[in-house]
Amino acid sequence: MGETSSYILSDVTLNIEATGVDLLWVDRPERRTDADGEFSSILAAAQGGEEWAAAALFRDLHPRVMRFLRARDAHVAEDLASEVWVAVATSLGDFQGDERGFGAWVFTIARRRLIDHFRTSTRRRTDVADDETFAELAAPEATELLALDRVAGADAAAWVASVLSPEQADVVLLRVLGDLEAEQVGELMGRSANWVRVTQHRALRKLAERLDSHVAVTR
Amino acid sequence: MSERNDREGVLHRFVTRDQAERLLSAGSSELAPDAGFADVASLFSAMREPATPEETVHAHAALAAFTAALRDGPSPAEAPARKLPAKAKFVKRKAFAAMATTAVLFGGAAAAATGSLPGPVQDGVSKSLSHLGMDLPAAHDATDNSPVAPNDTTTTIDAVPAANDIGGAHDDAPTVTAPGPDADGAAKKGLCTAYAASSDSSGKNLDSPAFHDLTDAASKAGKSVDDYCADGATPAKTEDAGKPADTGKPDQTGKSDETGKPADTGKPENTGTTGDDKTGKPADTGKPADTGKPADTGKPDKGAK
Repeated sequence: MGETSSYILSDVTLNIEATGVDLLWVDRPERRTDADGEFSSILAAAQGGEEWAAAALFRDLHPRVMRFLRARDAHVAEDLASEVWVAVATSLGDFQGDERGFGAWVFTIARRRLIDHFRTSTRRRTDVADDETFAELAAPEATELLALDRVAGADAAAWVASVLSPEQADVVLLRVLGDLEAEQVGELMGRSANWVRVTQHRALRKLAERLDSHVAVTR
Repeated sequence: MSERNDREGVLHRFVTRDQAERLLSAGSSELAPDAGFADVASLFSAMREPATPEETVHAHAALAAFTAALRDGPSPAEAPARKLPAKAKFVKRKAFAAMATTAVLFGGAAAAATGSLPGPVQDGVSKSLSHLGMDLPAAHDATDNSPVAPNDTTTTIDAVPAANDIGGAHDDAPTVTAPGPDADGAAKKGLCTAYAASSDSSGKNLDSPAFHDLTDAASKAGKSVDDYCADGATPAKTEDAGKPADTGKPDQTGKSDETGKPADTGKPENTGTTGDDKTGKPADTGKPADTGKPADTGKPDKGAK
């Protein structure tokens, strides 16, 4: 545990109270560099209440969870993210698994919170949204997206979600952002792995067609 | 990747399922030589890029919520001591489910409908009756002092729904000392029935939190539990307010809010999301993923591929 602690603490001086959250992403190495044993140590420390370890888990996943939530509903992403992490904290002691399994677990919670949100908002919605509302919610057009030399990750995720059906978007976002296998996504969504593969195949075709139409215009 | 021109001269692009799989797999973006799919691959690469400062500027709120909930959660020092072997959990869960179902079907419905049963019993009742088309409140929306052990699988199933109540989630920290139902009143018959039923299969488990009040009530009456229950096959006449037979209309009195319905996790197709029906799925398979509702997919073995 001492070795793990020194790794984390040398990587990022994690004193949450004193330095604030910004340092969480300072000099951050490529994610998923941890050996399995190291992740296990960090997980065990977090389960034991060590905040530096909790912050390490948070740092690795939060940006991608946020991209997922923002892509599906930007207006509530921040609130939902907090709810997700509270849920993670509440059940963290029961989690057993490796780093990838942990990611799948967190994304499962995130998607479940999203579903709850959609359900609730659907019930509550009594007024009809006007066109302006939809325009505000719309993700960037492909032309805007590709006009940039380097597409921002959050914009890319939002565009993908705007082009695809909700189910297709979930599959692609969970596979790419969650780094989940088709089997994991299937289980998470209550579907078969084969359904996931068929859905992602169609989703990719749709994305390619949208991008291709843009390419045909601009090249 | 391949492409062809159809009769209208419109360019269509094709990707095999294997190619789609590679495109979606981390680190495979270089496998997209085709221009159209190279753009898709670039899109996915961008999605995997580390966070920008703009994206993390508000992260402190989520981190604060995370660490605060972790601090307020079950004591880490206590957690290992309360862990049960998987088989013991299974037996315990089955015993509770059988007990709870029996209790409701034979007289405990009123207590269940009002959410006054102890957490595990309430959950068991709620889940059992949900299969029969009856909605009862689950433990976490009926009471905040659910007497569930943090490492019991039954507990973890409810951990996330409880946690969903943001702000109050960490107040639901499981305890083992929560009060049971009023064994003098409405719950007496149900508890006695459950007690009798439990003796058929797993012995009289008077140590269970569900029976604490039953033993207390029996001792107050100066009787053994057996005598107390035998004497009161019907609830005490002085407790008319708690008559289970008269008030046991679960559908009317026990209507929970939507987040508490075990059966209310059905297809969210109209919300643009897929079915997510596993919310109440017991962890019979022993998968770590099944621990803690969220852990539906938290399979370490699968992830280790």
